[in-house]
Amino acid sequence: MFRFIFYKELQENIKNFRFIIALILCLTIIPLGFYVNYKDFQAKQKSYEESIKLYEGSHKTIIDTQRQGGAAFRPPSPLSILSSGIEFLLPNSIESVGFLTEMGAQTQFNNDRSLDNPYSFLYGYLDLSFIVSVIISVLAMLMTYNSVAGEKERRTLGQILSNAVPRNTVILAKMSSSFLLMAVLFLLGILIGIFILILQGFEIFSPGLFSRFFLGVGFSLLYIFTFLNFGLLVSSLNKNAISSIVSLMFFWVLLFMILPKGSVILSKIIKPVKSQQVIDLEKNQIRQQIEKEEWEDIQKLRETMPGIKEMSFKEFFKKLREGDEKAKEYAKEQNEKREFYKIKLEKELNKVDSYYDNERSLQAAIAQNISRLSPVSCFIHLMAETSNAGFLEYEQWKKTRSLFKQLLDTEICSKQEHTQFGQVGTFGFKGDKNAPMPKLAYQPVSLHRIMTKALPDFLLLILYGVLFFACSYVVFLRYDVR
Amino acid sequence: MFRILFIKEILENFTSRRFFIILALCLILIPLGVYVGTRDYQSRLHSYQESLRLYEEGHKWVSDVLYKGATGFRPPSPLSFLSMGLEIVLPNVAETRSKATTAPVDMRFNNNQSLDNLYEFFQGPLDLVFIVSVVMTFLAIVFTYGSISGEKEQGTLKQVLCNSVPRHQVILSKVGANFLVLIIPFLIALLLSLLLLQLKGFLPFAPASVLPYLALAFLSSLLLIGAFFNLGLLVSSLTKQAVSAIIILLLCWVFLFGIFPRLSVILSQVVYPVKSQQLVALEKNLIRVENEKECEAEVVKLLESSSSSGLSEKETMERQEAIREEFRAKLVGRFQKVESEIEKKRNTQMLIASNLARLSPVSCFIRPLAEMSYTGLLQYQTFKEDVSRFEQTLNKEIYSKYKTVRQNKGGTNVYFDGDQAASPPKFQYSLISLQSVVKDILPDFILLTIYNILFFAAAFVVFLRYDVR
Repeated sequence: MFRFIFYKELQENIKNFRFIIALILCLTIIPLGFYVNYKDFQAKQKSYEESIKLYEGSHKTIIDTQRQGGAAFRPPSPLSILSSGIEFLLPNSIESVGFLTEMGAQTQFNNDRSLDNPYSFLYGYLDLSFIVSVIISVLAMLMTYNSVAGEKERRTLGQILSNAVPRNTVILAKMSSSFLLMAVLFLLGILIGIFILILQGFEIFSPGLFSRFFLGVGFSLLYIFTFLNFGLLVSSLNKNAISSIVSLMFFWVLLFMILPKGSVILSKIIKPVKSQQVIDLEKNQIRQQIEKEEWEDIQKLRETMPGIKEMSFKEFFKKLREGDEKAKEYAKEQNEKREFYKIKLEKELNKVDSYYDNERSLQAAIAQNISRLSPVSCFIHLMAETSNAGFLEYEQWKKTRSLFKQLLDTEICSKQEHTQFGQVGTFGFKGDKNAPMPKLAYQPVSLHRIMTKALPDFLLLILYGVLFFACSYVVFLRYDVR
Repeated sequence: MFRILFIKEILENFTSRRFFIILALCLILIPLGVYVGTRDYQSRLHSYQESLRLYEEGHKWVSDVLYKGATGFRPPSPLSFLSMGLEIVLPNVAETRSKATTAPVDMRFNNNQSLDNLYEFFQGPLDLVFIVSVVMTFLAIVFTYGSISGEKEQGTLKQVLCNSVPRHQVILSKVGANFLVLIIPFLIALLLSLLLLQLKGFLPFAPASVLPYLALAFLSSLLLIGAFFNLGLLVSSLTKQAVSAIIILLLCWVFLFGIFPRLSVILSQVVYPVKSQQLVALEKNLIRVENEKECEAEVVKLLESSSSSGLSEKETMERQEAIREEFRAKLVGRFQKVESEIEKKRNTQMLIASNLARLSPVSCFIRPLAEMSYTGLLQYQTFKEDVSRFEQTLNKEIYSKYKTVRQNKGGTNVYFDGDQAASPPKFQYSLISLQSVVKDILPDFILLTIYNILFFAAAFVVFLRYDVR
């Protein structure tokens, strides 16, 4: 019996003009989205490679980096075809700020990628995440709005149910046939898209991309499943097709478009946090304060240390070169103080950073959790993280920033020699200034981390799908034919 | 007759469930969006003021600018509740490298505000642009899909037309009454939001300076809602069943809102690719390094020949300064060439994108609203001009006085030929004039009006040609 109803539903859907529309849209928009986003990625990749080339050309040795300052660049994500997420807001480079002194390097994030074409931000991106969450959603609505309500209106449902057909078979057949149809159309679009990507040179079978790409496709199918069940539920609740589609449209706008935005608003009201700009300046003030303390402490040491306070700077440096014990002891104590302030500075800056990081994470977590009430948010989170264009990528890049700082500190700052005597200081460099500057290797976020982070969204999406189906099942079972 | 039909339509709509849904949606969403947008603005303004204060505290003298670098801050836009536009992605600071350098100094744009709450950008802001371009256009469709096709389906249209009622009166009364019922909740909600801001003391602006922008924004909103309303009417006239009308409209909405504007940007990038900003910055750095190398080679040559040519030390110094000046001017010229070339190309690319996007009424609304709210590209251009003026001032007052002199005996002297304890110049930010905004958005206004007329005229003709049989 299931087979009969399943075929009947399938044929009904295929014969309808909605199927043609869905077919045309899936077969054109998905490959088009893949094509243009990959083109966009290629342009970004070219710019990234040329930037690296130019940078490496002018930063061959340690001394070049010391003079001109260091930089590390973030490669664009090839999976932006799946979701551009917040990639345009993520920093595209890390740069050192100011002189690289023995006090350690100061680094900052830069983002000038968004300037390249501001209209793409104004109008949005045509990535798979958008295609599925908006276009395929609308198609799914069209597939399901009258699957139950339409039959109620035409009174065919009463006729079917007057036969010996179990109700669960009817609803299961309806759900599975519309899902099969949508999944086939979607996968056809994906297949053509893959073909175009391969022609463009996308290495889909490379180990890093293959699993993520198909995970993204899998999440999309899960979302389609959830949305179809949502449509089925609304259709079961309504008595005619027109009220079903109007209700679906309203729910779609409210639950899927307005609620996620509302979550951010709520999180801001519940947990306000200072802006990055203010935090950076606060950190700068701490740095200046500690540098001032250090300077004063070193001056005090010179003015109070017996045997040193009487010396002029010329005498001191002469004695230091001659290996005088007192001068050496002064230089040693000075270095100890420097080390002490360096550690103090790092501690203070880390304290500020971790405090605001926690505050911000809390705010984002509140927003994220509220927005999870809508399945579309779960889907968008999943797609952004899978495509390396989400929060994990930002966290990874923050780690890269501290690794880059470490690299500059070890290779340059720690090798700087600085001896201060009154207003006069001498600077030197231990080691080979002309040695090649070691490079920082970019480490992408591992799939394991993505899966761990994405698990709640994944489970919720399944839960929503099952819940919507269970509700429509119950509503359908309780339907009074009279 | 027109009056009777008009009142019938109004009564039908006012008593329908749809009207209450629209009213509730407008009364919740618009004040909430405006309120939150203004609060967001205030928090960004606070950040801006705090940053400026801390910067000014740390940059009291010219020497501070010389060693810590100079920064120009872009204040947030008070009208961002209308449209967040590019506010978040465009740079909020322009800074020199915090390191003493010789003229010409090259300021770099940076954006460090967007990292505040990254989560926000997964979802986008709930500004007036979103409310009008998504929610209101959607409601316009819901309001019109059944206005003609529904009556055809129920058979009431035949009955109406059996009487001696001119057809144009029927359709005009439908348009008038439906549009009025759709717009009234929108208008009430807008007024309520402004009142709320006024009561809360949040109105962050002098009303006289922003009233024209608010009026323009309102007018654009009406035109966009009108365009979708008339499109709805057209589709409703063309179809025989309400369900087919709403399905076609839903697809039109997805295409006009979701697909077309996005495609236009991508197409412009494919048709006319332009070098990235990151690459340009690096190219400029390379030019600077090359220029410095050439300059130093000239200076070394001068110093080597100075002893044989019998130049005095003073004369050598003067010649050295002249060489450096020449290379400085050369560098300015080279920078300007690179910038103007890239600027020209970028503008062409953006022109292609914006013109293509204009084929959708939604794009004719989104871009102008951003320009009206000081969050669009025009304001960014103004910021760039301000930065360029600031660069010139910095060069004139500070960096051109920072001299490098290579000694005959070897070694280089750097010194500042001016008063290091003087106050440094401050960055002046200017707002784009109303006239420029109007000039820029006029084509979009005209196009939106054309879309309205076109859709309505088509609906009108289709309705007049309707065969009752």
